Amino acid sequence: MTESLINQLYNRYRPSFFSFMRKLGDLSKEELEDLYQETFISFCENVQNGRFTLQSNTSVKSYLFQIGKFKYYNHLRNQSEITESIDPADSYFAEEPDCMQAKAEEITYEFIQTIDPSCRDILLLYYWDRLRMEEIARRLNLKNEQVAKNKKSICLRKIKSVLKQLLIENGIEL
Amino acid sequence: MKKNQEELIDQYLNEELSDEQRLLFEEEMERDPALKEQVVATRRVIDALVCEQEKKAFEEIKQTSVDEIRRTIQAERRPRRAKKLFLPLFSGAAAVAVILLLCFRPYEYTTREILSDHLIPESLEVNYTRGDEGRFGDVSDSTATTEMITVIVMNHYRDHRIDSIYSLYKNYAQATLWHKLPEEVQTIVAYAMIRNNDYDAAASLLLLLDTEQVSSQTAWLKLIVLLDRDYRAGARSIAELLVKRDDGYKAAAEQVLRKLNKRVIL
Repeated sequence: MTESLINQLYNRYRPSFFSFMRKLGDLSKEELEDLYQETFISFCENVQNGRFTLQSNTSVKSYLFQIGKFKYYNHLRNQSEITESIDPADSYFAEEPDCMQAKAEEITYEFIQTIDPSCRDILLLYYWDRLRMEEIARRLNLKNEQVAKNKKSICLRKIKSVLKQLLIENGIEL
Repeated sequence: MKKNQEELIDQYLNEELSDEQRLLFEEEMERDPALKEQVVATRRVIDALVCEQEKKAFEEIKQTSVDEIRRTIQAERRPRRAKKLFLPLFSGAAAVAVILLLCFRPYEYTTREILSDHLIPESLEVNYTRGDEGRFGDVSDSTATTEMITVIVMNHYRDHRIDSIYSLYKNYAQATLWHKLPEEVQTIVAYAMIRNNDYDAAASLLLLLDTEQVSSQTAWLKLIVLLDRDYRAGARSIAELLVKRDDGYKAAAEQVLRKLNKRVIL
């Protein structure tokens, strides 16, 4: 059964969230699960009420980390009986957007909509679902892991090459 | 570009390198502008692909209620069953092996299953005397007082009208006085909410109370609310506290702990 995108999003940032939170404090796996679940729900609420939107200067991952960090600090505050709480949404400041970078992202995003579907599939399975090449080969009915690896490599190189030209034409270089 | 360099870039961007490997790679990037260009270009492509998926996920989030999202991600936390072992060559033996596997695979209770163990008490122990509701006259949402709510809640509880307590809460849900009520009254209101399956409302009252400071029956209701939200660590610490207190909830708390702690064999 195909996972919903909400599940995919939830699973995508879970490992890095755990690593990030482990650096902040000594949390058990169960505590991390609770914290991540609570964080993800707050995140969804903020998406629903428009407090968080995707812009060129924002990142879902940083926002989740920010919420998690404040929830953790609030938890510590509660334990030490300090009652003042922090609302992560009020303390989240996105970085100042860099105009050229924003333009590059926009061009890349538009270009990505036009790529060959078979390339899109393999790149999404690798970069979004983070599947191993063996599993990708199985899902895409490719002969073996090496064939999948080669296909992904050729697609990425082709995309980067066309994208480079596009960016240069728009006056954007590295 | 070399193949292994491509893999290294992927590992770097997927945060799969150790701290030491990452530093070395970043030093290499500073020395080699062509490598840096490849990293930036790959990152751009990945970011665009991820952004595209996130946009779709956002649409899904906007069209899904928070309760539904909570259920979805709680299901994610449900432990995955052990993978079936390789089937032996002989079908008869294979069938036996599968049956044995199905019978003896490790099993972890979900919080839903723990909650279904009749954890909600039949009644609460509360000392009260009937108050005179008549002296409050007609009141509106804005003039409801903690004293008035306290008397009405206590009277309803005395008369076993749990649903009326919940209706009272619904009528005055907008009033901000609920958290100002004495703990005992908040506990009864939260109990009425739980009995009416309104766990979110109960959570809004109970989760703000300091477990260490409240009575064991209030702590017990808080444990139920935490289990409903699948916050196992929080539920576990309350259960441990109740075992330590040993004042009426010990056996039930131990039962919850057993199911939270142990993998059991079916």
